[in-house]
Amino acid sequence: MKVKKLLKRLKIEFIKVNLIQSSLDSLLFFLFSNLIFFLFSVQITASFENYVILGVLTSIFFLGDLFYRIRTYHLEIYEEKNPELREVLRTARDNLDKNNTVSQALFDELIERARSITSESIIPSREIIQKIVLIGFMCFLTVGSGLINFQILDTDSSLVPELSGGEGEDNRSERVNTSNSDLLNGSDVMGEPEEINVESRELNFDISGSGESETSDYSFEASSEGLTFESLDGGSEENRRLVKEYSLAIKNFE
Amino acid sequence: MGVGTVDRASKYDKLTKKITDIKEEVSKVMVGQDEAIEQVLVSILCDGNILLESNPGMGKTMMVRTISNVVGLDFSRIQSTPDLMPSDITGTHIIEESDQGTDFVFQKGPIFANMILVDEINRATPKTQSALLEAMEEKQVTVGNQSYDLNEPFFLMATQNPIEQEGTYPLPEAQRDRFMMKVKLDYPDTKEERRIVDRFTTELEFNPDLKKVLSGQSLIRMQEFTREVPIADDIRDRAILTVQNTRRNKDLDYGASPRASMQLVLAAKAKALLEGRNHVSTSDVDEMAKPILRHRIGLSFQAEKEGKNPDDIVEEILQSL
Repeated sequence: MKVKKLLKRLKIEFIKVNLIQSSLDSLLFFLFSNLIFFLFSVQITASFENYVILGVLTSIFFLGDLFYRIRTYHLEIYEEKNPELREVLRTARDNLDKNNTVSQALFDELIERARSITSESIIPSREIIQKIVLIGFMCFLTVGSGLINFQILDTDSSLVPELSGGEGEDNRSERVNTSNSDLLNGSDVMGEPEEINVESRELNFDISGSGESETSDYSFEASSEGLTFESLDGGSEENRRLVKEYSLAIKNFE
Repeated sequence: MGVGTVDRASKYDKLTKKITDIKEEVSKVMVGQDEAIEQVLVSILCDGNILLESNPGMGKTMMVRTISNVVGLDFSRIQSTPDLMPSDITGTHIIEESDQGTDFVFQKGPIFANMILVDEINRATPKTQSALLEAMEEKQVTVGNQSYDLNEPFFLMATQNPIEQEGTYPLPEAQRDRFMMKVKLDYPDTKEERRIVDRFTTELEFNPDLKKVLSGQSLIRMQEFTREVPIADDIRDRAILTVQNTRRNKDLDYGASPRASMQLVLAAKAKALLEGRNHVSTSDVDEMAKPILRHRIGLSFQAEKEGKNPDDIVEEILQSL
């Protein structure tokens, strides 16, 4: 029946309009949340990047918003926007099962008048434009804050513990607190020193340079062209110990 | 578009054309009183009876006679008096002599017409009023132990004089409820009164050529069309709520019955048809609420003391919805 099709078409038009509205709302939700999380350096969870979580949340928001909007559908929306259809649409909807002369006249008239009805009549243009402007503004803020790396709070904490088998907030903070003392421990940074067997090989290297050298007890010869280091064959236990100590001292100093 | 649809569309067009013609023909005689005429036409389309309230000399008889001529109905007038007997209205058995012998035959009374105007019904005794009410409700009269069906369609319009109350038998509430609506005829304004004077004083007998727009059968068909007018659920509910609110209004001793709900919806349908619309509007319900409800509600003593009338209460109820 034509009127049934018409009423169905009107509902689809309504859904289309609200699809746009819900998309804009969801986009706003995403951009706003993303910006807030960035500005306050909030990490939702260590397991996933923020945008993944926000994407899921935005999808849920979109579906919920769209569902709510569709539930608010009523024909009076079209009647408000099309005064020539006031009470006609409702009457036709409530009398779809009638098959008599006057009802038929009503249906024919409705079909005739309804040709002019499009979703444009129920599009809240002003609201949509406002949302688009707001989205543009949010995009600008997002890009701007990213470029200048502006953050109100600069912390590296996650709101939700790592999702599976990850370390929790407690472990993480514990690690942060102990990191300074660990740095002082050369073995922790460099690993345990290994005993290198150098008895069976010789390493000769030349270092070119100029300058004066002071007389010292170290065994090397200096030439006017450069410094020539000669490896010691094996070296004594005392030398190896000294080399290790100096290496660690240099590391710690750095 | 199918053949059946085209056929129905042409039927609907004819219907609206006829309604327009009726209005035009009636306006050839009547000046002003548009609202009252419309309410009478609504009542005819709804197959309902009317209680007319007006002062003398307002053109009640002229109006009813004109409408009955235009819609092709037999017109009959009954003047009520305290000594009017039921048999004066319904008819009686008389002895008829013929070649075959003598026999009782039924002599039909003035009630056997399509449109009856009963003037000053409250002057008739309760017994006579009951005979009229049986005719209104059952569309039949009982004489002796025999019942006779009245002509179809059948309308009864009863008038009440609002000024003189002495020596009258006011209709009980239950009997007033049987009238579909109570129509009030107001005094015409100066412009209208001037036209009335001009129209009826320039000719010895003002009798314009009125076209008979309908026949009895086509009127019955129009009554069927009236019931077919679709109404939205929320508008129907508004009508029901209006009637229900008369039952809980503090200014009223008693409210309107469910019969009032039925008749308010029906009257709204007829009003829509008269307006040339194929659906009922909220305004139809609102405009019909006063004539449908004003004789069905009883004002409390307090409300009467405050000078309120039934129309004020109905208006308040409509405003509160």
